[in-house]
Amino acid sequence: MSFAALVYKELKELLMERTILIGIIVMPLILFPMLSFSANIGMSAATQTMQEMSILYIDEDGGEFSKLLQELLTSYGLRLRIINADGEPLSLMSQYDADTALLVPREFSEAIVAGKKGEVKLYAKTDEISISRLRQLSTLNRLLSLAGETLGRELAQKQGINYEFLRTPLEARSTIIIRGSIFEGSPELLSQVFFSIMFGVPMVVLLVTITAGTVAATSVGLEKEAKTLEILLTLPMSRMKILASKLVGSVIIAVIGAAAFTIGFSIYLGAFMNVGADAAMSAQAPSMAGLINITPSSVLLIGIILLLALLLTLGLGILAGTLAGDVRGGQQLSGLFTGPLIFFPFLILLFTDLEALPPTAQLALMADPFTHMLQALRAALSGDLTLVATSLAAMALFVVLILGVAAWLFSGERLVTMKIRLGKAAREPYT
Amino acid sequence: MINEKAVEVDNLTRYFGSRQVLRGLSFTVRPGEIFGLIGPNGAGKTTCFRILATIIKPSGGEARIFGHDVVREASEVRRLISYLPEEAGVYKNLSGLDFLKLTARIYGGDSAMVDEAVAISGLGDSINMRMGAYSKGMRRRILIARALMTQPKLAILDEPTSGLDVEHAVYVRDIIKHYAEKRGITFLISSHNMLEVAYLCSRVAFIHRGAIIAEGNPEDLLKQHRVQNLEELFLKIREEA
Ligand SMILES: Nc1ncnc2c1ncn2[C@@H]1O[C@H](COP(=O)(O)OP(=O)(O)OP(=O)(O)O)[C@@H](O)[C@H]1O
Ligand SMILES: [Mg+2]
Repeated sequence: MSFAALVYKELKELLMERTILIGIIVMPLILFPMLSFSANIGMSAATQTMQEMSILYIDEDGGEFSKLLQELLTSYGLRLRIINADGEPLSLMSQYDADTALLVPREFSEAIVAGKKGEVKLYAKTDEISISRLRQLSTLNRLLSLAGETLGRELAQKQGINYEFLRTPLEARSTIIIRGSIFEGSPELLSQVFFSIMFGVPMVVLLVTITAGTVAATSVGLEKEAKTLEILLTLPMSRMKILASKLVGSVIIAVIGAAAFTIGFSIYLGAFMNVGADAAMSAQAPSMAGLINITPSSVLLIGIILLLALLLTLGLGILAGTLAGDVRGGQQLSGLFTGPLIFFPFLILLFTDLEALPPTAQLALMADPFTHMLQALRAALSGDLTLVATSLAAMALFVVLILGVAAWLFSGERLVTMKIRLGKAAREPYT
Repeated sequence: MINEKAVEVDNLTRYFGSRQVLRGLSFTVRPGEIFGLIGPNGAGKTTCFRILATIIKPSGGEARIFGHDVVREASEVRRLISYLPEEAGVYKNLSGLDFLKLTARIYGGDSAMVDEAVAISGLGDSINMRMGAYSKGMRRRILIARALMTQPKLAILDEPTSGLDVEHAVYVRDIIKHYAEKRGITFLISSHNMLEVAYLCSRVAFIHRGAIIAEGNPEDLLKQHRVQNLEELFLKIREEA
């Protein structure tokens, strides 16, 4: 009962704390949607100007293919202003007050009929190089080559040539057998799926754990800053119970924060997600499940790994909070502890396997508890049970070690007497 | 036990690094009295209180609270005492009432305990305000209420009225006096206000550079040193030391 009361106190204090509330819960919920909103504005603005842009179509040729090109471009939604006049293109542009012009020279159609490439020239005037202008021009260029392809297809049809076949007279099919089950799909797709899981799952795990560490450091830092710690420490309850209430409170907030991040991030992704690609991915889903071991037991394993990783960062967070004098110092110190420990192995193991590294580098990485977390995750996803077992054992060892040190620091007087400061930033104001 | 001592400090020493802050500190507090520990800034009062409250450990010597050693039997000691630190703060985002309820739950108390604490605090409707918005005086009052609501055998209050205006200070003093007389709570307090010490304390000890240089009941001490009041006494014995 008293424990629940303490956890409630932790939640209330932490959730209302500015750095937690804003940094961990509100920011992801606001920032990501805002990012996608502004990206959307940017994109729709670009499309809009595309339609508004009037293009001077200087048709010197006047032939069959020039007409065809006109029709195609118009069908893509471009507004063409067609003139048949001769003359210097740049002066024509100023005369007609246009900043973009397409010049279709004489003999354009004739060349094509004769089996040579017809040339079209794009003229663009601009005062400043802006992203939207560049985007406009590259879209225009893309539409031109699209029109070229369509012209080619029609020409081929007229001459009775199988265009599609001649473009690529070779088709590659691959069958990949993964531990006995067959994956029919390109290696590119396979590596894409594999990467997104091998990257995505650890990302979420890392996110939750780093957050939890920060929250735990904050929870101790707050007590120091508000000078409530000394009363807390004289209450008739064991230090371990007090410590546990901080750990539980931090985990709850980390999970809320991770949820906020996931929601915000999926809104962000949703704004860009190509629906077609999405459908292609889900069509592959059944074979993907065979490829990566997503079974109830692997989910359970990931849960255990997440729990151990949480205990690791919570321990580090408590250490940081205990060593620092206030909230900011605690958060900085916690970041200093967990940041490099997490990101070095994450980045290194993203591109290579542990075994492929030179022995000294392997040893250095093995001394980092989060290496074992990544190894365990990888093994859980690929179904390598021996590696899962050894990695989990190594993690558990680190958990015992770090939580032991945290508990030792927490039960001693260092909690009240230590105040490490990180440079000027953490110094009290006005002193 | 008839001659049981509420606090027994015996030759207590404490170093911070190579610096000695307590140098063989000894004094006793009897049950039911309000005992004042007075001395100049940096004399070692807070350090002594923190040791008694089991927050830090002594480097040497012993201290017992109602017979329980503060190092070896820290958890028993914590059940007997309430400690009000010198610069104690509050949980910004809890209301005064939340805080008192939390305390009651930790001590296994009921709603009567909370009601009494609300009454001790004398905060009225402000009890529902978040404590981050409390003035210094209000904070001190809620913390005093927290310390006394649990009916400790010993309340250790480090400068309970420092920084408070007259009204708040008088209120806190009266609460202390009331709880000593009516509930038999033993008080160990420190203060720089000699009027307050004279009004509250049945016995005092002067601490200077980590050691006691005089101890006794205020009237006897005044007679013994032939001075008019505690302030004169303070200056005189400090000069002699
Ligand atoms: N954690 C610590 N580390 C180092 N020195 C300390 C620490 N705590 C206290 N001291 C030193 O111990 C000495 C006694 O401090 P203490 O706070 O006990 O004095 P005090 O009698 O309470 O003073 P005041 O009347 O100003 O409150 C001071 O010189 C102080 O600087
Ligand atoms: Mg003091």
